[in-house]
Amino acid sequence: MIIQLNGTQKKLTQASTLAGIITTFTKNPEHVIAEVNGHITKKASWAKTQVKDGDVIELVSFVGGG
Amino acid sequence: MNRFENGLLQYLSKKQLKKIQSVKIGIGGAGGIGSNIVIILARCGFKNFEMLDFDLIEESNLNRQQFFIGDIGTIKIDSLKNFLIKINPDINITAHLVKWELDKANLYFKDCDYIVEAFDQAAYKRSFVEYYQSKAKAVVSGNGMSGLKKKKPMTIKKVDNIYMVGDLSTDSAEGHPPLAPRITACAAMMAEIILDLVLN
Repeated sequence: MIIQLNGTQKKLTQASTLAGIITTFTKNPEHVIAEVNGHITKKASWAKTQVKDGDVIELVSFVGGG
Repeated sequence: MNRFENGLLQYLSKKQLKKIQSVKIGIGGAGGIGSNIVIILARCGFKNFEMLDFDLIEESNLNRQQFFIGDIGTIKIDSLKNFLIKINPDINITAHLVKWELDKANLYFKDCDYIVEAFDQAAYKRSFVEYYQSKAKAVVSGNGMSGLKKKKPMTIKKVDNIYMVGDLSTDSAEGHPPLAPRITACAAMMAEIILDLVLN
């Protein structure tokens, strides 16, 4: 399965949830916002969101300051 | 139409100003980003604001926030109100002097067209943006505007209807100091996004 993660193609060797992707590819999931195929997927839904072949996922981490 | 608005009509059409003044903007946080962006937006003609912040003004705020020595110890939003009515006496501000909590998020910004995230802690930013994203036309968030060394360019990252403005990496919690140039630049970029969304 191939997905596009933050503009880069990633090959996944096994099925994964969005929560799994976020845990694998980000330093602090508590600070991340996730967009799947153009729409925000809320944190409460990450664990039940299955990643599919061709999904375009953007993960953006918030940093402190303001 | 007051004198400020008359002056603004030298640069904007009546139709544009009417559009700007029909919009309500919610701002979570009245610190570095919040205090700067509300003033910039007010100078663009926006006059309907809802702000949330419970902080008092401290000495350490004065390097980048729109407050003065005489304001130390007073409520940030109260001080901002006094500032803003000097720009436009007909400005409307609904103030919530509370700490934002996710389980009470539905109490705030109910009829705001655009919402600005201007908190300083990353976890709050995330919860705030995620919650209001589905309730407003757009959420504009400051994300990475601290630092003195190894600075990265300021950018705009759009996901869905969220506009994140900043270098997306320098974290004030990791020792990058919040200083006036980047904070002000970030607030100005955020204000411009809202102005563009409203007028274009």
